[in-house]
Amino acid sequence: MIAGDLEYVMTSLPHLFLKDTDRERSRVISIFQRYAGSEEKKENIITLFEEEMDKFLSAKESETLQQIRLQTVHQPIFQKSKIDVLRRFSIYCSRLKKDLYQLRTARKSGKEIATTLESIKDLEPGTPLEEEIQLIQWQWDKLEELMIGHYTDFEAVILFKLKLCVLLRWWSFDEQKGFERFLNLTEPGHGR
Amino acid sequence: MADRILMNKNTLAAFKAELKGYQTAFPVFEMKEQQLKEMVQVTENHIARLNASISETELKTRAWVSVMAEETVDLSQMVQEEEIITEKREIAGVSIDVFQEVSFSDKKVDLLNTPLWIDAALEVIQDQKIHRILLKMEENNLTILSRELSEARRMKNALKEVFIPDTKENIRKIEIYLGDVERLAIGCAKLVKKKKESKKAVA
Repeated sequence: MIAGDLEYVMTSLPHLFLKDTDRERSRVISIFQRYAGSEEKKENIITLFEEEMDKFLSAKESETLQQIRLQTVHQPIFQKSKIDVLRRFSIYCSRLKKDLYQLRTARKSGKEIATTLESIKDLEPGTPLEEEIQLIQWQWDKLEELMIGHYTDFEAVILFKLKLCVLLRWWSFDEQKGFERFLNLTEPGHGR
Repeated sequence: MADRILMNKNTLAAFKAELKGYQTAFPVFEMKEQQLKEMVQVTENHIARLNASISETELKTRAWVSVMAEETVDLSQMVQEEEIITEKREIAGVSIDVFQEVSFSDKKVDLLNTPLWIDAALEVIQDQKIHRILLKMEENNLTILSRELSEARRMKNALKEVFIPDTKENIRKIEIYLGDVERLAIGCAKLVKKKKESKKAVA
Protein backbone atom coordinates (compact mmCIF):
# COMPACT_ATOMS: atom_id res chain seq x y z
CA MET A 1 0.00 0.00 0.00
CA ILE A 2 1.08 3.52 -0.71
CA ALA A 3 1.48 5.73 2.32
CA GLY A 4 2.45 9.36 2.66
CA ASP A 5 1.54 12.56 0.87
CA LEU A 6 0.80 13.29 -2.79
CA GLU A 7 4.44 14.02 -3.51
CA TYR A 8 5.46 10.61 -2.26
CA VAL A 9 2.64 8.92 -4.21
CA MET A 10 3.55 10.65 -7.45
CA THR A 11 7.17 9.59 -7.16
CA SER A 12 6.07 6.04 -6.38
CA LEU A 13 4.03 5.72 -9.55
CA PRO A 14 5.70 4.09 -12.54
CA HIS A 15 7.20 6.46 -15.05
CA LEU A 16 5.16 6.14 -18.22
CA PHE A 17 6.75 5.80 -21.64
CA LEU A 18 4.80 5.67 -24.87
CA LYS A 19 5.93 2.15 -25.73
CA ASP A 20 3.97 -0.94 -26.65
CA THR A 21 6.24 -3.76 -25.56
CA ASP A 22 5.56 -6.75 -23.31
CA ARG A 23 8.29 -5.57 -20.97
CA GLU A 24 6.80 -2.10 -20.63
CA ARG A 25 3.31 -3.48 -20.09
CA SER A 26 4.41 -5.91 -17.45
CA ARG A 27 6.50 -3.22 -15.68
CA VAL A 28 3.57 -0.80 -15.38
CA ILE A 29 0.93 -3.41 -14.61
CA SER A 30 3.03 -5.18 -12.00
CA ILE A 31 3.70 -1.91 -10.13
CA PHE A 32 -0.02 -1.15 -9.94
CA GLN A 33 -0.86 -4.67 -8.88
CA ARG A 34 1.79 -4.50 -6.19
CA TYR A 35 0.27 -1.28 -4.87
CA ALA A 36 -3.13 -2.88 -4.74
CA GLY A 37 -1.65 -5.96 -3.13
CA SER A 38 -3.75 -8.15 -5.38
CA GLU A 39 -3.56 -10.12 -8.59
CA GLU A 40 -6.38 -8.20 -10.21
CA LYS A 41 -6.49 -8.11 -13.96
CA LYS A 42 -4.86 -5.31 -15.91
CA GLU A 43 -8.27 -4.04 -17.13
CA ASN A 44 -8.75 -2.59 -13.68
CA ILE A 45 -5.60 -0.51 -13.65
CA ILE A 46 -7.46 2.80 -13.89
CA THR A 47 -9.68 1.73 -11.00
CA LEU A 48 -6.62 0.69 -9.00
CA PHE A 49 -5.04 4.07 -9.69
CA GLU A 50 -8.20 5.97 -8.72
CA GLU A 51 -8.63 3.93 -5.54
CA GLU A 52 -5.04 4.65 -4.49
CA MET A 53 -5.35 8.35 -5.29
CA ASP A 54 -8.59 8.56 -3.36
CA LYS A 55 -6.57 8.19 -0.17
CA PHE A 56 -4.58 11.34 -0.83
CA LEU A 57 -7.09 13.64 -2.54
CA SER A 58 -9.99 15.66 -1.26
CA ALA A 59 -13.50 14.37 -1.98
CA LYS A 60 -13.97 16.98 -4.72
CA GLU A 61 -10.62 16.22 -6.33
CA SER A 62 -11.31 12.52 -6.17
CA GLU A 63 -14.69 13.01 -7.83
CA THR A 64 -13.14 15.16 -10.57
CA LEU A 65 -10.45 12.55 -11.17
CA GLN A 66 -13.01 9.77 -11.51
CA GLN A 67 -15.06 11.79 -13.99
CA ILE A 68 -12.13 12.12 -16.38
CA ARG A 69 -12.25 9.59 -19.20
CA LEU A 70 -10.30 9.71 -22.44
CA GLN A 71 -13.51 9.08 -24.45
CA THR A 72 -15.34 12.01 -22.85
CA VAL A 73 -12.58 14.47 -22.00
CA HIS A 74 -13.50 16.63 -25.01
CA GLN A 75 -16.94 17.43 -23.59
CA PRO A 76 -17.90 21.07 -22.76
CA ILE A 77 -17.88 20.43 -19.02
CA PHE A 78 -14.13 19.76 -19.17
CA GLN A 79 -13.50 22.59 -21.62
CA LYS A 80 -14.83 24.96 -18.97
CA SER A 81 -12.85 23.36 -16.15
CA LYS A 82 -11.00 25.57 -13.69
CA ILE A 83 -8.09 23.16 -13.83
CA ASP A 84 -5.90 24.66 -16.51
CA VAL A 85 -4.29 21.46 -17.85
CA LEU A 86 -7.60 19.65 -18.00
CA ARG A 87 -9.26 22.57 -19.80
CA ARG A 88 -6.41 22.83 -22.31
CA PHE A 89 -6.33 19.11 -23.01
CA SER A 90 -10.12 19.05 -23.34
CA ILE A 91 -10.05 21.90 -25.87
CA TYR A 92 -7.25 20.14 -27.76
CA CYS A 93 -9.22 16.87 -27.90
CA SER A 94 -12.39 18.67 -28.92
CA ARG A 95 -10.59 20.39 -31.81
CA LEU A 96 -8.99 17.10 -32.80
CA LYS A 97 -12.37 15.35 -32.80
CA LYS A 98 -14.01 18.11 -34.86
CA ASP A 99 -11.20 18.00 -37.42
CA LEU A 100 -11.40 14.21 -37.54
CA TYR A 101 -15.15 14.53 -38.08
CA GLN A 102 -14.47 16.74 -41.11
CA LEU A 103 -11.83 14.33 -42.37
CA ARG A 104 -14.14 11.31 -42.01
CA THR A 105 -17.04 13.11 -43.68
CA ALA A 106 -14.78 14.12 -46.58
CA ARG A 107 -13.41 10.57 -46.91
CA LYS A 108 -16.92 9.11 -46.92
CA SER A 109 -18.16 11.45 -49.63
CA GLY A 110 -14.92 11.17 -51.62
CA LYS A 111 -14.38 14.91 -51.40
CA GLU A 112 -11.04 16.60 -51.06
CA ILE A 113 -9.86 16.98 -47.48
CA ALA A 114 -9.69 20.58 -46.34
CA THR A 115 -6.16 21.76 -45.68
CA THR A 116 -7.42 24.09 -42.98
CA LEU A 117 -7.76 21.25 -40.48
CA GLU A 118 -4.91 22.43 -38.30
CA SER A 119 -4.86 19.65 -35.71
CA ILE A 120 -4.64 16.84 -38.26
CA LYS A 121 -2.64 18.53 -41.00
CA ASP A 122 0.31 16.22 -40.29
CA LEU A 123 -1.73 13.01 -40.38
CA GLU A 124 0.04 10.59 -42.69
CA PRO A 125 -2.54 8.43 -44.47
CA GLY A 126 -1.94 4.80 -43.59
CA THR A 127 -3.68 1.76 -42.20
CA PRO A 128 -6.25 2.45 -39.46
CA LEU A 129 -3.68 1.21 -36.92
CA GLU A 130 -0.97 3.54 -38.19
CA GLU A 131 -3.38 6.48 -38.12
CA GLU A 132 -4.56 5.64 -34.59
CA ILE A 133 -0.95 5.43 -33.38
CA GLN A 134 -0.30 8.89 -34.85
CA LEU A 135 -3.32 10.26 -32.96
CA ILE A 136 -2.16 8.57 -29.76
CA GLN A 137 1.30 10.07 -30.24
CA TRP A 138 -0.18 13.56 -30.66
CA GLN A 139 -2.32 13.20 -27.53
CA TRP A 140 0.73 11.93 -25.65
CA ASP A 141 2.85 14.84 -26.88
CA LYS A 142 0.17 17.29 -25.79
CA LEU A 143 0.04 15.71 -22.33
CA GLU A 144 3.86 15.83 -22.06
CA GLU A 145 3.74 19.51 -23.03
CA LEU A 146 1.08 20.19 -20.36
CA MET A 147 3.11 18.22 -17.81
CA ILE A 148 5.84 20.88 -17.73
CA GLY A 149 5.82 22.44 -14.31
CA HIS A 150 3.48 19.85 -12.80
CA TYR A 151 5.16 17.09 -10.88
CA THR A 152 3.46 16.55 -7.55
CA ASP A 153 0.25 18.55 -7.68
CA PHE A 154 -3.32 17.56 -8.54
CA GLU A 155 -2.72 18.58 -12.17
CA ALA A 156 0.09 16.04 -12.28
CA VAL A 157 -2.34 13.36 -11.02
CA ILE A 158 -4.85 14.27 -13.75
CA LEU A 159 -2.18 14.26 -16.45
CA PHE A 160 -0.85 10.94 -15.18
CA LYS A 161 -4.32 9.42 -15.43
CA LEU A 162 -4.79 10.77 -18.95
CA LYS A 163 -1.38 9.44 -20.01
CA LEU A 164 -2.26 6.10 -18.50
CA CYS A 165 -5.57 6.11 -20.40
CA VAL A 166 -3.78 6.91 -23.68
CA LEU A 167 -1.24 4.17 -23.04
CA LEU A 168 -3.88 1.60 -22.04
CA ARG A 169 -5.84 2.43 -25.16
CA TRP A 170 -2.81 1.61 -27.28
CA TRP A 171 -2.18 -1.55 -25.29
CA SER A 172 -5.78 -2.62 -25.88
CA PHE A 173 -4.98 -3.03 -29.58
CA ASP A 174 -4.57 -6.79 -29.63
CA GLU A 175 -4.11 -8.61 -32.95
CA GLN A 176 -5.47 -11.97 -31.79
CA LYS A 177 -8.50 -10.48 -30.07
CA GLY A 178 -9.13 -8.07 -32.94
CA PHE A 179 -8.90 -10.82 -35.54
CA GLU A 180 -11.31 -13.02 -33.60
CA ARG A 181 -13.76 -10.10 -33.43
CA PHE A 182 -13.31 -9.47 -37.15
CA LEU A 183 -14.03 -13.12 -38.01
CA ASN A 184 -17.00 -13.12 -35.70
CA LEU A 185 -18.45 -9.94 -37.21
CA THR A 186 -18.02 -11.17 -40.79
CA GLU A 187 -19.92 -14.38 -40.04
CA PRO A 188 -23.19 -14.27 -42.08
CA GLY A 189 -26.15 -13.92 -39.75
CA HIS A 190 -24.05 -12.42 -36.96
CA GLY A 191 -26.05 -10.00 -34.82
CA ARG A 192 -29.41 -11.52 -35.71
CA MET B 1 -32.25 -63.93 -60.40
CA ALA B 2 -33.86 -61.96 -63.16
CA ASP B 3 -37.59 -62.34 -63.69
CA ARG B 4 -38.58 -64.63 -66.50
CA ILE B 5 -39.90 -62.68 -69.42
CA LEU B 6 -42.99 -63.63 -71.35
CA MET B 7 -41.97 -64.67 -74.86
CA ASN B 8 -44.81 -63.17 -76.84
CA LYS B 9 -45.51 -60.40 -79.28
CA ASN B 10 -47.06 -58.17 -76.62
CA THR B 11 -43.93 -58.32 -74.49
CA LEU B 12 -41.85 -57.69 -77.60
CA ALA B 13 -43.93 -54.60 -78.41
CA ALA B 14 -43.65 -53.41 -74.81
CA PHE B 15 -39.86 -53.84 -74.86
CA LYS B 16 -39.62 -52.01 -78.16
CA ALA B 17 -41.63 -49.11 -76.74
CA GLU B 18 -39.40 -49.14 -73.64
CA LEU B 19 -36.27 -49.09 -75.81
CA LYS B 20 -37.62 -46.17 -77.76
CA GLY B 21 -38.22 -44.33 -74.49
CA TYR B 22 -34.71 -45.13 -73.23
CA GLN B 23 -33.14 -43.99 -76.48
CA THR B 24 -35.05 -40.71 -76.25
CA ALA B 25 -34.09 -40.21 -72.61
CA PHE B 26 -30.40 -41.05 -73.09
CA PRO B 27 -29.36 -37.87 -74.96
CA VAL B 28 -31.44 -35.80 -72.54
CA PHE B 29 -29.47 -37.15 -69.56
CA GLU B 30 -26.26 -36.84 -71.55
CA MET B 31 -27.00 -33.17 -72.19
CA LYS B 32 -28.11 -32.60 -68.60
CA GLU B 33 -24.86 -34.16 -67.38
CA GLN B 34 -22.87 -31.89 -69.69
CA GLN B 35 -24.69 -28.74 -68.60
CA LEU B 36 -24.43 -29.60 -64.92
CA LYS B 37 -20.75 -30.50 -65.30
CA GLU B 38 -20.09 -27.08 -66.79
CA MET B 39 -22.10 -25.36 -64.05
CA VAL B 40 -20.33 -27.31 -61.31
CA GLN B 41 -17.02 -26.20 -62.82
CA VAL B 42 -18.16 -22.58 -62.96
CA THR B 43 -19.39 -22.74 -59.34
CA GLU B 44 -16.17 -24.40 -58.15
CA ASN B 45 -14.12 -21.68 -59.84
CA HIS B 46 -16.29 -19.02 -58.24
CA ILE B 47 -15.86 -20.64 -54.81
CA ALA B 48 -12.09 -20.78 -55.33
CA ARG B 49 -12.05 -17.10 -56.29
CA LEU B 50 -14.18 -16.17 -53.29
CA ASN B 51 -11.97 -18.17 -50.92
CA ALA B 52 -8.89 -16.48 -52.37
CA SER B 53 -10.50 -13.07 -51.98
CA ILE B 54 -11.55 -13.82 -48.37
CA SER B 55 -8.02 -15.01 -47.52
CA GLU B 56 -6.47 -11.96 -49.15
CA THR B 57 -8.75 -9.59 -47.22
CA GLU B 58 -7.96 -11.44 -43.98
CA LEU B 59 -4.24 -11.13 -44.70
CA LYS B 60 -4.47 -7.42 -45.51
CA THR B 61 -6.71 -6.70 -42.53
CA ARG B 62 -4.39 -8.58 -40.15
CA ALA B 63 -1.90 -5.72 -40.49
CA TRP B 64 -4.23 -3.39 -38.61
CA VAL B 65 -6.93 -5.66 -37.15
CA SER B 66 -5.61 -5.14 -33.60
CA VAL B 67 -7.60 -1.88 -33.37
CA MET B 68 -10.79 -3.94 -33.50
CA ALA B 69 -9.96 -5.25 -30.04
CA GLU B 70 -10.91 -1.82 -28.69
CA GLU B 71 -14.44 -2.31 -27.47
CA THR B 72 -15.77 1.22 -27.61
CA VAL B 73 -18.53 0.66 -30.13
CA ASP B 74 -20.89 -2.23 -30.73
CA LEU B 75 -20.15 -2.91 -34.38
CA SER B 76 -22.45 -5.90 -34.63
CA GLN B 77 -25.53 -3.71 -35.04
CA MET B 78 -23.88 -1.71 -37.82
CA VAL B 79 -22.82 -4.68 -39.90
CA GLN B 80 -25.99 -6.69 -39.44
CA GLU B 81 -27.47 -7.70 -42.77
CA GLU B 82 -31.10 -6.65 -43.12
CA GLU B 83 -32.01 -8.43 -46.32
CA ILE B 84 -30.26 -10.74 -48.74
CA ILE B 85 -31.85 -10.50 -52.18
CA THR B 86 -31.43 -13.50 -54.45
CA GLU B 87 -32.92 -14.68 -57.71
CA LYS B 88 -33.79 -18.25 -58.68
CA ARG B 89 -32.10 -19.59 -61.80
CA GLU B 90 -32.90 -22.83 -63.60
CA ILE B 91 -29.93 -24.89 -64.81
CA ALA B 92 -30.83 -28.17 -66.56
CA GLY B 93 -33.93 -28.47 -64.42
CA VAL B 94 -32.11 -27.57 -61.20
CA SER B 95 -33.08 -24.44 -59.31
CA ILE B 96 -30.19 -22.49 -57.77
CA ASP B 97 -29.88 -19.13 -56.00
CA VAL B 98 -28.18 -16.21 -57.72
CA PHE B 99 -26.98 -13.36 -55.49
CA GLN B 100 -28.40 -9.93 -56.26
CA GLU B 101 -27.61 -7.67 -53.32
CA VAL B 102 -27.46 -7.42 -49.57
CA SER B 103 -28.64 -4.49 -47.50
CA PHE B 104 -27.19 -3.66 -44.12
CA SER B 105 -28.98 -2.02 -41.22
CA ASP B 106 -29.14 1.72 -41.69
CA LYS B 107 -27.46 2.60 -38.41
CA LYS B 108 -25.58 5.88 -38.76
CA VAL B 109 -22.07 6.02 -37.39
CA ASP B 110 -21.42 8.79 -34.90
CA LEU B 111 -18.43 10.35 -36.62
CA LEU B 112 -17.67 12.60 -33.68
CA ASN B 113 -17.67 10.09 -30.85
CA THR B 114 -16.27 6.96 -32.45
CA PRO B 115 -12.62 6.22 -33.19
CA LEU B 116 -11.23 6.91 -36.66
CA TRP B 117 -10.61 3.22 -37.36
CA ILE B 118 -14.36 2.45 -37.29
CA ASP B 119 -14.87 3.71 -40.88
CA ALA B 120 -12.30 1.38 -42.44
CA ALA B 121 -13.42 -1.48 -40.20
CA LEU B 122 -17.09 -1.14 -41.19
CA GLU B 123 -16.17 -1.08 -44.86
CA VAL B 124 -13.96 -4.16 -44.71
CA ILE B 125 -16.38 -6.08 -42.46
CA GLN B 126 -19.33 -5.40 -44.79
CA ASP B 127 -17.30 -6.38 -47.88
CA GLN B 128 -16.04 -9.53 -46.23
CA LYS B 129 -19.54 -10.37 -45.02
CA ILE B 130 -20.86 -10.09 -48.59
CA HIS B 131 -18.09 -12.43 -49.76
CA ARG B 132 -18.92 -14.92 -47.02
CA ILE B 133 -22.67 -14.76 -47.81
CA LEU B 134 -21.83 -15.37 -51.47
CA LEU B 135 -19.53 -18.24 -50.54
CA LYS B 136 -22.20 -19.88 -48.41
CA MET B 137 -24.70 -19.51 -51.25
CA GLU B 138 -22.32 -20.92 -53.86
CA GLU B 139 -21.39 -23.84 -51.60
CA ASN B 140 -25.06 -24.60 -51.20
CA ASN B 141 -25.53 -24.34 -55.00
CA LEU B 142 -22.56 -26.66 -55.50
CA THR B 143 -24.10 -29.25 -53.20
CA ILE B 144 -27.38 -29.14 -55.14
CA LEU B 145 -25.64 -29.19 -58.54
CA SER B 146 -23.26 -32.00 -57.56
CA ARG B 147 -26.14 -34.11 -56.29
CA GLU B 148 -28.09 -33.53 -59.52
CA LEU B 149 -24.97 -34.18 -61.60
CA SER B 150 -24.33 -37.54 -59.98
CA GLU B 151 -28.01 -38.42 -60.39
CA ALA B 152 -27.91 -37.45 -64.10
CA ARG B 153 -24.64 -39.37 -64.55
CA ARG B 154 -26.07 -42.41 -62.76
CA MET B 155 -29.15 -42.32 -64.99
CA LYS B 156 -27.09 -41.86 -68.16
CA ASN B 157 -24.80 -44.76 -67.23
CA ALA B 158 -27.73 -46.94 -66.20
CA LEU B 159 -29.38 -46.30 -69.58
CA LYS B 160 -26.16 -46.83 -71.51
CA GLU B 161 -24.81 -49.82 -69.59
CA VAL B 162 -27.93 -51.58 -68.33
CA PHE B 163 -31.37 -50.56 -69.58
CA ILE B 164 -30.65 -50.15 -73.30
CA PRO B 165 -28.40 -53.27 -73.68
CA ASP B 166 -30.72 -55.40 -71.49
CA THR B 167 -33.81 -54.32 -73.41
CA LYS B 168 -32.04 -54.90 -76.71
CA GLU B 169 -31.02 -58.35 -75.50
CA ASN B 170 -34.57 -59.15 -74.40
CA ILE B 171 -35.91 -57.99 -77.76
CA ARG B 172 -33.31 -60.16 -79.52
CA LYS B 173 -34.24 -63.21 -77.41
CA ILE B 174 -37.98 -62.74 -77.98
CA GLU B 175 -37.44 -62.19 -81.70
CA ILE B 176 -35.32 -65.37 -81.91
CA TYR B 177 -37.90 -67.27 -79.90
CA LEU B 178 -40.81 -65.97 -81.94
CA GLY B 179 -38.86 -66.74 -85.13
CA ASP B 180 -38.22 -70.28 -83.91
CA VAL B 181 -41.89 -70.69 -83.03
CA GLU B 182 -42.91 -69.40 -86.44
CA ARG B 183 -40.48 -71.74 -88.24
CA LEU B 184 -41.69 -74.64 -86.09
CA ALA B 185 -45.29 -73.86 -86.96
CA ILE B 186 -44.43 -73.73 -90.65
CA GLY B 187 -42.55 -77.03 -90.33
CA CYS B 188 -45.45 -78.63 -88.53
CA ALA B 189 -47.90 -77.34 -91.07
CA LYS B 190 -45.76 -78.71 -93.89
CA LEU B 191 -45.51 -82.05 -92.11
CA VAL B 192 -49.27 -82.22 -91.57
CA LYS B 193 -49.83 -81.28 -95.19
CA LYS B 194 -47.39 -83.98 -96.34
CA LYS B 195 -49.07 -86.59 -94.13
CA LYS B 196 -52.47 -85.61 -95.44
CA GLU B 197 -51.23 -85.88 -99.02
CA SER B 198 -49.65 -89.31 -98.43
CA LYS B 199 -52.86 -90.50 -96.75
CA LYS B 200 -54.83 -89.32 -99.79
CA ALA B 201 -52.44 -91.13 -102.11
CA VAL B 202 -52.77 -94.45 -100.19
CA ALA B 203 -56.56 -94.15 -100.18
